[in-house]
Amino acid sequence: MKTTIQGDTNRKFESGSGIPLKEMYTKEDLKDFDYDRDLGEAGEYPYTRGLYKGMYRNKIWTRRFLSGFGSAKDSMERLKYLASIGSEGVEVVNDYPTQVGIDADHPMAVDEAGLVGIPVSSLDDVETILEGFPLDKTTITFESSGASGPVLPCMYFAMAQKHGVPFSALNGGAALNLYCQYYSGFVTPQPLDLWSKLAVDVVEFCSKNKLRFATFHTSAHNVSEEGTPAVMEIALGFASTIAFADKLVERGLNFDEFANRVPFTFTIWMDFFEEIAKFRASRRIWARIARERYGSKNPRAQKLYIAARVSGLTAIAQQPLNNVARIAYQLMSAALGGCNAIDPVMYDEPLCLPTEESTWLAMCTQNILAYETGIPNVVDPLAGSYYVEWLTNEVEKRSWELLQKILDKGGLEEGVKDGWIRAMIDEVAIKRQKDIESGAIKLIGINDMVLPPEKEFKVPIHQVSKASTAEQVQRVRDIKKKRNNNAVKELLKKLIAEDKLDNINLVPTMIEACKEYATLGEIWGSLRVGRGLHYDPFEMIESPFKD
Amino acid sequence: MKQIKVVVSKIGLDGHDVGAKVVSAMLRDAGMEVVYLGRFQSPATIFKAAVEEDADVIGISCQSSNHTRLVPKLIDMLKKEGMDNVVIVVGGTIPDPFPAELKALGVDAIIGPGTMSGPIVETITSLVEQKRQAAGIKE
Repeated sequence: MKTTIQGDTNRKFESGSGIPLKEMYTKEDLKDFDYDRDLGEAGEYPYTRGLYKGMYRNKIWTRRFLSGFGSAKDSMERLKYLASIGSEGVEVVNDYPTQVGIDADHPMAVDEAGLVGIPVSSLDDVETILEGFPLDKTTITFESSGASGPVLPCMYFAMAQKHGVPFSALNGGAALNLYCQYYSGFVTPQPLDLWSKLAVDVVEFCSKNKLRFATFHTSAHNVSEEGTPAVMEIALGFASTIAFADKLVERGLNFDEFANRVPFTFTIWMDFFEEIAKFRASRRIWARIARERYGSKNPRAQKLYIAARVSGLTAIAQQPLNNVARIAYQLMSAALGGCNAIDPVMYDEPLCLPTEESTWLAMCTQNILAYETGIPNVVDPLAGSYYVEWLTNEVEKRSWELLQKILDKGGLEEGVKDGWIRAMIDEVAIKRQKDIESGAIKLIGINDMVLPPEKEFKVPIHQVSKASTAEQVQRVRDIKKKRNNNAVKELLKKLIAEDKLDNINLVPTMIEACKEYATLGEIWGSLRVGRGLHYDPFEMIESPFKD
Repeated sequence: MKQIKVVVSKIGLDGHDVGAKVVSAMLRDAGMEVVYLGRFQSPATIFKAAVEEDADVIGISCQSSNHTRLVPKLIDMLKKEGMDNVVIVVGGTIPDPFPAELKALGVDAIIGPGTMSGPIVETITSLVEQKRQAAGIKE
């Protein structure tokens, strides 16, 4: 059996982003290096070495997981399990119907509710999911920036009011920046302008009420999971952040206030050193954007809080246990890059939703890195390496160039209409496949160390039961019967009227509607009606409250 | 041999369609005609497109387990209309035991992650040839 390729001639010496690499780096490559200008100490501008003095000596990166599936109750049980093994805070990622902005009982959703992600149709689901998590003591991050993005925080605020928890006590946040999302697999058929108006409303509401709840949050992860390596990820991520910030400034909001916390979710790709360079360069790039483009005076607004998530794309279905090794290297690059929160994926990622066992293994992988390797003992340990500093500069330079090109062509919003950005992303994915086929990219289990199917590793497969989906659909049908439908009808009417005016922040009325258990689909449907659109993006159902 | 016409689609609400687009590009490179339906397709819209396009092959890309729920519905529709000549291929994240289950339902081929373009093109070409021969269609 031929296993590994020996003495191959077509190895390419370039980074994941295609940056050509020399065999060795020397002082000649860092001739213009200026310690104070380029690095500074951790906790000081431009934050290359990390956001805080002492970094992991004072606090290990936040360890947590994206999770959720099945009914709201199934999701709650998994979140409890995660908390029991040391996952910090709750990360809510929604199922596809929720991300699209329709209820579990919609004809397009009845087969897919809870299949992947947490289903949320109404406050009832949020109450179930967060049962036993005290709102004032739990960091809750709503990771979905689909159509549910702006509505879920309203449900959460409604829950806080019902429980007598002041908004000021709420932690966590919501990844509300929608622009990247448009280029991801979580795109929604809801109209971009309405989506953007709602997201801006939520940020405005939080900013004016001085909430800690962080809403100026970009997830570049979702677009890079389309296959875009480091340089493209940085450029698209910041182009998206700029598109969002510009909308907020246009609304009259103060940059230093709404950007008081700047969470940013990156993917962790496989190119070990390019990833380290990416995290270091990104902090420097953002600090400069904040100061130079937005005139920031608030150091907090200049600090890019990086939540790094291991790529699901780099995990390989063949011989899935090999992913344990991949994930460990990826987590290590994020720690060496000074990321603030790090999420693994599980080894079974390319096969199914994680099992409890694969989740446990991933938590242990994190803790081996945190407590056994000694890596967290010293801040930014690779600083000063000729290669790492050169690569950080190079990644930064190329990212600025692409970012400038995107901005010159009208930014991300214009790119949605024009299609050129989508074409650029697709081209990268097609090229990657060709490189895998030619052997230019080697993937263990795919074109190297290949096992015949009968020798393939067998691992447990987690599948969501049809009963869980049916339970979720029934929950929504039940709540629609049980609630005060007159109150819901009146609040949705009010929402439509406010939406038509186009100059009213819709969050207070959305919170009131959520308190009465108006659903995600009804809220989106009403807002669509306010814009003269069909109630349903799929034109399959009508408003239940049509006069 | 007459050019093979393939309708490629996502099924359901999952918008992760890079895989579908990469495979569409492979099939075009191999000389096939590809109609890519895009995201948010239901079994009914895929069925309708396959009829309208007179497709030889329907290629469904699944990433989020919806092969277990929506692909069987599409197969039911095709069976009811007696469209036995259409080759059905499902690609993507389809772990055990689902390849065997889908094949039992009438899916002609399952293409897992990491499959190279050569085997994909060969599989589709040979399945289309078999169906054409069975239907007595001359090459």
